[in-house]
Amino acid sequence: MGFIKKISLILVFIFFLPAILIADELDNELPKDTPLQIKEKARQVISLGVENQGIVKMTQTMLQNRFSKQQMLEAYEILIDAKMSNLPEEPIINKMYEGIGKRVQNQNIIMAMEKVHARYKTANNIAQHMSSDRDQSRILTRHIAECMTAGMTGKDMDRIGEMLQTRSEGQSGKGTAELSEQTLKTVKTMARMGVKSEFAVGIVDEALKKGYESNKMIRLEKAFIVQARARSNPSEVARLFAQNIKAGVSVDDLSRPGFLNSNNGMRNNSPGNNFGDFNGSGQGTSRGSGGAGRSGGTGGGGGKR
Amino acid sequence: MIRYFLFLSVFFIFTMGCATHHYYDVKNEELHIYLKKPKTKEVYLLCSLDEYKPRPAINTGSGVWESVLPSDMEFNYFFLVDGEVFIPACEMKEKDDFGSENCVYIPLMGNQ
Repeated sequence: MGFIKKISLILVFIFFLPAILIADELDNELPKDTPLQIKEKARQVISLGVENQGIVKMTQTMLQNRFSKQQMLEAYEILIDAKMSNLPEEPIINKMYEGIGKRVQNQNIIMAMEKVHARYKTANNIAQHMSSDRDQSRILTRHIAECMTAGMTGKDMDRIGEMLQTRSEGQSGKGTAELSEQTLKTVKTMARMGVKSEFAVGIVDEALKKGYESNKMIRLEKAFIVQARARSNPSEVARLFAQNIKAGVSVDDLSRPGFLNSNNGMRNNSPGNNFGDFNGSGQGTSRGSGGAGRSGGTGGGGGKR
Repeated sequence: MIRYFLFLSVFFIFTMGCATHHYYDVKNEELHIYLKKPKTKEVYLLCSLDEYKPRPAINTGSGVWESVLPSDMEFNYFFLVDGEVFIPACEMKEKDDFGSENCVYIPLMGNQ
């Protein structure tokens, strides 16, 4: 009997040890007057698998920046929901730090964290249709969410997902996974350079119809960067790319500097578009390339403090 | 006379627009990000690599501020110029969920 008691005690100790350690760390590193409810919620987030130190730091930062108790609880709830849905918590936590860096009002930071979470939820729904492999689905979720952050609509990402699914039918898993990943990276780059959502879909549609594999998608991404750098309207470049791919022009030809000028016109490159006068000159640097591009300005919106 | 003022206004607007330049350079696998902002007291770069901790940019002279980051990693960033958020014209951007944007760097850009 004594032996069973001892074993039971040891088991209970081992079972509760992580909770005791978490409790200690939270109690030690948070101010003494931190509301109990906050500590409990923080513990709940940690128990779901979010890194201990990350939550301690997040809590400290929110306290330092005078988030209300309600706002802090809302932030934890978003993280709990993310963990329960197998979504990454890191982009949500990062959004909080970004908001603080931009001096955005606390309530607007919570709203932005919620937006990130919603975006990842949508992305995850699309990714799950694209791959049944959990790890692959996680990678695709991140790429889809980042495409949406860059300006792609959920509807268009859904369409791209369907195109990739159709393409993958009857093909090997590895090649399909690589193609999906690279296609999404290419879409992300185009959207980040200012291509409108529907034009990015147009390119992907034509490229997949022409049987592009992942290595051709990489070259397409590079070709797009080259051509978009020399032009002021990325959506027009995307439209011409789609047109040329459909006509059977090779991706190597597309990457040739000046190709769009010589053969394919930029006839509709109207002045007065929303983009700046990027000329890719690098402003006197040897390899620099980042110069002015899309219209800049001071960070507006978001309700500054 | 009106023409003269018109010319001056256009010239003024044009030169104001050129007052800010943003560019980068990859040297020894390091990314050097430059922001030309004359008449500025302090510039910080904040990026997604380190939870947006303000990194002080170095004034290299003639109003050009320099920040050094790894060139092999993707990240988004923005500046704080004299305490104000500043998003320069940059090649790649994304929305920030606060009604503004961030600049984005991807390693592929450094290979150009």
